[in-house]
Formats: sequence, C-alpha cells, structure tokens
Amino acid sequence: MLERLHKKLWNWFGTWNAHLKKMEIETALQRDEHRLLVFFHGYSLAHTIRPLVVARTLRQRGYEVVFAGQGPHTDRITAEGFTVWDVETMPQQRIDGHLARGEYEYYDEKWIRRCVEAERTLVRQLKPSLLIGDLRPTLRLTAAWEGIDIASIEAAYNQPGYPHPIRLPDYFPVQAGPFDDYLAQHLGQPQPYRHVFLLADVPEFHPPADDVLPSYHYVGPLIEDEPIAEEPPAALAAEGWDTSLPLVYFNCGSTGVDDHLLPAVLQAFAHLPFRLIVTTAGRFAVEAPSANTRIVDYLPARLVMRHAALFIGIGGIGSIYHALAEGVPIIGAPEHLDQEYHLNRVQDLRLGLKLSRHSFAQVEHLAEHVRYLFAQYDEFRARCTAFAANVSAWQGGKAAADAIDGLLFTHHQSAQLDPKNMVIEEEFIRHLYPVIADDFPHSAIRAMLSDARRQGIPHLRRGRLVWYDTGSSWNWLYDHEPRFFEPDYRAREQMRAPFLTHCAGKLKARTPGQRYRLTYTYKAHTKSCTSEGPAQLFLPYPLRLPQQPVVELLDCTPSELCPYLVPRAGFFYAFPCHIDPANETLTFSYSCEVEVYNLPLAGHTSPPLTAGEHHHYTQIEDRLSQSRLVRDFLATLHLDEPNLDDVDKARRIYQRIARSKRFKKTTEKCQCLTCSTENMLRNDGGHCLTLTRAFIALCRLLDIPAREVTGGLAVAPQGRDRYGISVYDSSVFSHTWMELYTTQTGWLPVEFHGIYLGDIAMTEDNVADVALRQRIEERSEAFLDYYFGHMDCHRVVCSNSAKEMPQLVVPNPDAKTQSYRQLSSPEGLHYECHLVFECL
Amino acid sequence: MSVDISVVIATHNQKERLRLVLRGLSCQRFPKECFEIIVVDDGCTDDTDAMLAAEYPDVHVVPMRPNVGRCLARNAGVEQARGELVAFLDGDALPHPAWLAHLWESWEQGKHACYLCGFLYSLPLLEYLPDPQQAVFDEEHTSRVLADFLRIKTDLVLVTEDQIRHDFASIHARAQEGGYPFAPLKEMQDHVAELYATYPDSPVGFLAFYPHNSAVPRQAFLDVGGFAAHIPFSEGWDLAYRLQQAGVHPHFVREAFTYHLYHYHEFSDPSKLKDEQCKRVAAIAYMAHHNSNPKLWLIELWRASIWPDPFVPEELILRDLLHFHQCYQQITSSEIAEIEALLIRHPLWNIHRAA
Repeated sequence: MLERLHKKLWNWFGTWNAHLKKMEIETALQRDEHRLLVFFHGYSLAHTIRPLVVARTLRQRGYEVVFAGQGPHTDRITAEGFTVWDVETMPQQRIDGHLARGEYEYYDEKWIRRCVEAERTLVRQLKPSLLIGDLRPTLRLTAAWEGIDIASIEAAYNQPGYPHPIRLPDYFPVQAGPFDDYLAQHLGQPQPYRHVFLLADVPEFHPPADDVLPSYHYVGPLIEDEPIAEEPPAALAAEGWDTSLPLVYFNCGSTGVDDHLLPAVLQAFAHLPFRLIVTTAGRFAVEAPSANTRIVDYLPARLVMRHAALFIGIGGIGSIYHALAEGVPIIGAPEHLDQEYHLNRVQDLRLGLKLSRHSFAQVEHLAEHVRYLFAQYDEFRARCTAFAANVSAWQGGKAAADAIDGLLFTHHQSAQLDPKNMVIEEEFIRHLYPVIADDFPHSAIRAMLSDARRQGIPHLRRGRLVWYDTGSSWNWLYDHEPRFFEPDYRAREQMRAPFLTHCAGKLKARTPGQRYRLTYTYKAHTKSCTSEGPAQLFLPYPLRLPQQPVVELLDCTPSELCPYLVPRAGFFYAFPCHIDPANETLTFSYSCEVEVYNLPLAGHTSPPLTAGEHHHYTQIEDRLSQSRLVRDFLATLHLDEPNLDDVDKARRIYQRIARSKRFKKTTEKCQCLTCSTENMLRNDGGHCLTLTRAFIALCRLLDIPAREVTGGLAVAPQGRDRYGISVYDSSVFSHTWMELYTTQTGWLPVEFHGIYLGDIAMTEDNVADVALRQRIEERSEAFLDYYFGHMDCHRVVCSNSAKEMPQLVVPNPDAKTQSYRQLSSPEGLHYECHLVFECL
Repeated sequence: MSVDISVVIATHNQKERLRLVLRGLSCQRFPKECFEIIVVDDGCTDDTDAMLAAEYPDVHVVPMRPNVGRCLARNAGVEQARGELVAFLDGDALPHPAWLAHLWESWEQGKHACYLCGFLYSLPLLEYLPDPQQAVFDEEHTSRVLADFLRIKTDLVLVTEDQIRHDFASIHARAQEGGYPFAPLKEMQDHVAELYATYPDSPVGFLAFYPHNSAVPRQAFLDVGGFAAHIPFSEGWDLAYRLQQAGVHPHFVREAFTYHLYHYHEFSDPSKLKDEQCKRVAAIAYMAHHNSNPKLWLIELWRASIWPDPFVPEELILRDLLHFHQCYQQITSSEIAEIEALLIRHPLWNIHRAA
C-alpha cells in the first residue's frame, strides 16, 4: 500500500517537475531571438510536409523560421508565408534511378560536397541558432563544421537498436559510410554540437530500442492535421456514382518509378463492387475507366480516409498514418526501404496486408487480396479502430516543438545541465563525499554551494529544491572553489604519503607492498524499483594476480553468499535473491585480506602474447585510423623520428595527454575507444576511463598492444591506516588505468593520476593556499614521470567486467532480440557501494 | 568392387540443395570408382527420394522413417559404408571438385590412422532462395527491397549445376571463409589454422572438426560409438574428442573445401538466438559430463572471445586456440572447478535444466 502510494507520489512529482520545467522554459527562453533554419526535401511530399508541420508550431511560439531546399512541393511552404532559400538538393529522379538499379549509395563524394558547401554558405549567411533537417543527410556534417546544434526529423526505425530491422547483406551499402568518410577526410577539428532526433512515429507502430538514447524523441506522426470538415470533399460528391458501395482510396504516392501500379488498381477495381478514389500527386494523367472511379491530383488525405473503407498505397508514412488515425485497413506494396519497414509493421500488427510489387501489379492477385481483406473486414476494422487511439493522441508539431524548446533552453543556460544527471542538493553532497574528508561538515558544504550558486555554478532551482548536475556542477566546483579542490587534493596527498615519497624531484615507493583487510558493502535501495521478484546479484571481488598474489575471503553476509564466490573470475557470481517491496534495502557484504605489490614487479615477466591476444589488444575501428583529427594529433608528436621504440612513442602520447587535458566528469553516452579518443581530442578534458581509452586507442593505432585495468582506490583517509570510498549508483571498482605491452617490458602500467595531481589541475581560482600551489607546481613533473611505467599499491585490482556488469539484474520483459539484454538492472534501483581498506 | 571412401550425407528436406551437392560429388577429381555415396533420407517429405531415384540412381539411399535427427542418421549411413574412410557432408555442403582428392592425400600422409577436418566456406544470400538455381524468392523471409536488389544482381546469388560442372571458380570467387551470416565463424576457423600451425599435436585439435566437412576412419568411428544420439549441438566436437582420446589424431586439411549453401534457419531470426545459444552451452555441459572432463568447459571461455557475452568476466576469456591450448595444459582441477561453478550459474544459459 505504502509502496503504491510512494510510486504514485513519485509519478506526480515527475509530472509536476516537467510542468515546472516547461514554465521555466516559457519564461527563460527568448524565442524571438532565435532563427531556426529548416532544410526540407521538396521532391517528396512527406519530407516537405513533416518539417512544415513542425515549423508552423515553432512560428506560432515566436521563433523566426526560415526554410531551405528545392523541389516541386516548395510551393506548399511559400504558400504559408515562409521564406525559402534555394539550396542544392539531390533531385528525386537521381535517388529513384539509383534505387531502381539496386544502388543505395546515391550520395557520392561529389554530391556530399555540393550539398555541404551550399549548406555552409547559407548557415554562415543566416547565422541560425539551430538547424532542422528532413531527408538531409549532409546536414550533420555542416553542423559539425559550423558547431551548430541540429534536430533531424527521422523515422523511428532509424534509431540504433530498432527491434524489427530488415536484415540486409553486409555489402548492402550503408548510408553513414560515405558521410563519415567525408567528414574524417576533410574536417580536422569539428566544432562541438548536439544532435537530437525527432522520431516522427508512434512507439506502438515502430517501437523503441531496448535502450532508447536520450537524444531520440518520439514526437508522433508529422502529418497534415487539417481540420476535419463535416462534408466530404467535392471529389467524393454523391452524384454520379453508387454511394451504397464501400469507398476505396488509392494514393499513388509522390515518388517512385513504378508506373504499373495505377493501371493494376484500375483494372482490378473495374470488376469489384467498390467505389474507387485515386490521387496521383500530379504524376499520372489517366482517364477514369468507369463511373465508380474518380481520379484527381490531390485531396486532403485525412478527410478522404474518414469516408474510406480501405486504403491502398505504396506505404509512404504520411498516408499510412492518415489511414491509421482514421482506423482504416491498409493494403500496400513497398517501393522503397522505408515503405517496406512501414508495411511490415502494418502486416505484423494485422492492420492490413503487404504485397510485393510483383503481386500488386498482377490484377487478379490484387483483387484476391482485396476480397480476402473484405472477407474478414470486421476483424481488420476493429483492430484498426482500436489502433487509431495510439495515433490520434499525438500532436506531432507540438511534441517536436517541445523537444526543440528543450534543446535551445539548455543551450541558453550558461552551463549545459543534463537532465539525467540532475540531483537535489542532499544527494549532490553525497557525490562530493568520497573526496572530501569526513570531518568536513555538511553545513560548511552547504555554505560553499550557496556561494557557488551566486558565482555561477550550473544549477536549477525548483521551488525550495536546488538541483545540481553531477557532472557539470561538480566540474565547476573543481575548477572554481578552493574549499572543494584543496581538501580533495590534501586527502589525496595524505592517502599517498604512507606509500610514496618525493625524493630529488622523483617519486619513489616507500614500501614494496601492502596487506589490507578489505570490507565491501553493497546496499540496494529497491523501494522505487518498478520490478519485484527474483533477481541475481554479482558482487565484484579482488582478482588473484602476480601483483596481487594473496586474496583470502574472511567472511560474507549473508553466509549463503559464500559458495557463489568465484575468485578466478573476480566475482560473487549470480547469487539468487529477491526484490520484495516490503524489504526496502538489500544489504550484502564481504571482507577479505589482500596483498598488493607495486608494479613493475622485480623478476616478474609477462609471457609472450599469442597472435589472438595481440590481435585482441590491438583491435581498433577503421574509422579512427582514417580520422583527420587523429592523424593531425599523431603528426604533431613526430613519432616517425628514428630510434623511437614503442615505449618512447607511447610515452610521447601519454605526456601530451597528461600535460594538456584536465580532469573533468563527462557523461558521454558512448565511451568506447573511438568516441573517447575523438572526444578527448576535441575537448579539453576527460576522466580516468575516457582518457585511458583514448590512450589505449592511440597506442593500438601504432600497433602497440594495450588493455584496460580496473580497480578500487584507497581514497579518503578515515583515521590511522584506514581508507574508505563510497559511491552511489555506480561501481566502487571502476577506477581505470591501462597496461601496454612490448616484448622488452611485458605489460607496463600507465595511469593518468597526473591530471589531478599535477599543475594542470590548478586554475586561477581553485587553489588559494600559496604553499599548496607551490607544492603542486614543484611536484607535478614527478607524478607524470612515475605513473608512466609504475603502479602504486594503494589500490586493489578487480575484474574489468565489474564496471560493466550490473550488480543486480532482473529479467527484462521488453528485451526482444539480443540475449544478453534479457537481463538488466531494475528500473528505479538506487544503490550504494562502500569499500574500506584497513592496512595490516 | 571395393571402395576407398564412403561419402555419407544426412539430409532432411533439402532436395534442391542436395541436388547441387550430388552434382559437386559427380565432378570430383577423385576416381569415381573409388568412392561411394550414401544419402540418409532422414524423414524427407519433399520428394527427395523421387529426385534421387530419377537423377542419381547410383546413390545408395538409406531411408529413415520417421525423422531421427542428424546424429543417428549419420550413424545409420556409416553402418552401410564400405570404405575404410568415411567422409561426411551435409545436404547443403557443396564440395570443391578437389575435396575428396585432398582428403585422401591427407589420409595417406596420416598412414590411415587419423581423422580429417576440412575448411569451410559459405555462399551468402542463398537463404532467400528455396532453390539456389532459381531467382524465386522466399516471400515470407525476403524483404521486398532486398529481393529487387538481388534480382538485378543474380550473378551474386545463384548457384547452378552448370556452374559446378564448368565454372567452379566463379562460385569460389564469391564464397566467404567461415560461416554465414555469422562472421565470427571465420575467426574460429582462423584460430584453428593457427593452432595447427603452432601445435599440430594439440590435445584440443578436435575443435577443428565440423561434421559437414570431415572424414573419419570407419572402424574407429564404430569403436567409439559414432555420433552421440542425445547431444543437442556440437556433435562433431564430441565425436572428434572421443576419437582423439582413443588415439586417432586429427589432421587439418586446409585445402579440402566445402561451401555452405545457406538456407533460412531459425537462428537467422535474432529472437531465436537465445535458444540456440542455450543449446550450444548445453552441448558443452553434455560433453564435459559424458566424457568426465570438466576442462571441456574451457570451450565456452574461448567462444566468449568470439561471441561477446557481458556475463563472462573478461579475465576468463581465452582469446584464441593457442591461449586455449596453453590453458588446457596448465589449468588445475580447482581452477576448472571454479570456472565450471561460474558457467553453470550463467544467468542466461539455465544450464542446470538443459543438462
């Protein structure tokens, strides 16, 4: 009962929060200061109407909206008083011609250059705040070039992980390839920009991926939403045909090369007991063969659908949604890939029938399908009528405009606040806690945050609550606030003191190794979880390694956990447990003793790599090796100088990164090797994982084997010979460093501690203590020198999988495809991990 | 008249593909009088028997009614075999014209005391064609745009008897190494080649064995009991392991090519992939249990390097067969017990029930 009430309150809070945010946008966003430049594809009606529907709402809200494009449907836009700039656009004939020959790569380098140059010229002239594009694949290149945000109107099946993909052979040309190649070859340093995708679909028709990326927004159908008149259009006037017969609506579509379909439909219906209304989009001039058939260029589709018993078409999305909105069954034959996707869904949802063009063009075959559908018409109609509610509930233009408002609003703010990182002040203080000593009272932290708000820390105030971004607000404090930076730095100095010493400008180990008693506690707060029932637990555990030879379990709670320990894997593995709403917190813990030695170990040599290992540890995406950004970076390091061995080359890369990049909490969705490298080169900072991955990628580009290592650090001193670290909603064993391999050295450790221990960490504001500033400057070089090739012993190495594998998993009922997605962390779960190191 | 090699083909409702396989056998460079063909018609309902009677009357047909599954079907075929070497094909594995010649050459080099593992190629896109000789698409499983595309480029798709007879090079030219549509199978085969180049006598050499391109000494096959009747998958590895344990060593014959005439299969549908994975793991559980060798669980750690699985901790993954070979030689019983404990608890595999 209480649980339900809690969930209800939580939902209400979410709604209220959204409402407050909307009000804040209304007041803060000066829409009349923003010019939005909309690129449309005027050769296709759908790709003209979709941006037009969005633009109408944006203009109503006060934005200046300007169009750019070409094509016969441009009149639709100018008729509504919008300015249209003429820019190079690929003609539909070229696209159709290529597709008819099975050539899907219709954008070659020449066309990409023509479009991008036209776009860039216009963007520089108009200086818009945002680009909006529909069927304009070159626009993201322009966005990257000019550093301007972009919203793309897309079909939902284009989102990554779409659950109903059409499997195509490997060599089927991939649209993204030529564009990425062009960008990599011609643009050295892309400007930062954000890209959101407005999915002009409803999730019930084209469902979301298992993990919807936050930049993808369903906005509903973007179709003409003309008011529904009571009276049918003149073309449906009752006189002159038999109104007792059901009406079938056939729309030829505005694109395509197949001219067999219209004759087939006319012939098929010549002998069927229906009235037929045909729209040709002005493409065909054909006489109606009988009184019960009428042929016109255009009609208001939604209005015709209201009177139709059946819609027949090629599966263009505009007509499909018009039919679905009015609950009309569909028969279609796709000509293009998108139409195939739509009609597959129509067929899967049993809202109509999909035919091949070959079948469609056979008159008797088409007639047979019409008869089949009408034989079961009540069932088809009932399903379509029920489905109509999913479509008509959306107001596409409004939803798209809301997403664009949100994008411009966050841009408007001095710092970018990411909704998924926002936490209230109490929780934000907990995020600061791991690096601020215990004795730093909360009242002092609150006073510090109050000052920070006056000085510009990114935050939002909602009523009495103040919200912070765990990334950008944290970074602001780190860069600007001595009361945050200094105790953090001193804690790190104190932590290292028993293990490392400075001597003649060098760092040296005080001790060869250290034995710890390690206590790990995991608490899962399940009260806001949406799932309950059986779950499985994966607790990370120290690995047995040459530098960590002793790992002995002492105790665990509950004791039933013990048989689930797999030391060789570094896990308590798949312990069955239960999420019960009555039990709000699940607590698990263990303690063990671990001996850790400094690296490199005297006398320890790594075995030679097998070919498979070498291949694995040098794997890298081709895209990265072709990237001009990467090539330019490596060229500045002069790695082709004679007599440089692999260690020398890696050291040069390391030094360059460690001397130029600052520590920053960044929250890019993708932190793969490629994205981490590109982001590191574009931005001025990163954190242990992204910088390490960038370094690994750059080493691998030089064919130097490199791998990640994961572990937990003894961070915050908690009295004599005792350290602790607590983290919330992430793994405590997630610190990342790397090892590179050469035949001379074996695996050599490399760590980016220098970025927060060296002088690069200091700004003009964040160190007030003159003595500390001087000390940091003096010791900076020693850290850079030591952490290339040495590893200290105030850390525990754990499985690399510890940071990837969810600690608590439940069956994921929505997973449809890849098997590993059938388990996931329960939605709404919050958890905390505590790790205590006691020196023995 | 005595024969040297018996080619055993177990087939189930693959008439059109079987026709091409038999055409491939009729074009072998190996002397025709020295080999026989045994087709085990495993419950076919697509007139395979009529096709065989009409077009290949010399083929020895073993009818199995009802369908018994490929393991028992192959065993039944071997029981009828006269050759001292039994070569296996599947009803969709087209042999290269030099296939038997290369197998026989290796058999002689191995002094008639080895078993042979060939090299696999696949012919992509055939899954859309019920008959690889006809550009008529399987409407249910072929996307419309793909069918249009392929109709324009039939030279990329069709495999005809005429090509097999006169222009096998054109078939080879568009084949891809390893499996299709799963590119990782190429990686597995590359690992095999590397293993044989480095450790030709490796105790894990049995992992080169795929029953649709292999050959075994008939008597040794019978002695070890043939293919296991109840193993859910990977029956080739299980048989090859038992042969190797019995002292029959594997030879990897890099030049003995077969070409998989791919067809629609349930695991082409991603939603069925999980069931397939469970079967594969259950097969390893079966092998480890029935052969009383828990070290066979290491196969899963090798497969995890090729088919990524976030629930197999990275530290355990064996990156290639050299790594596998070293680990297989060195691992202690307590370490393998830990790995077994982990794998039987894998949250997706549900091995307890499957085993």
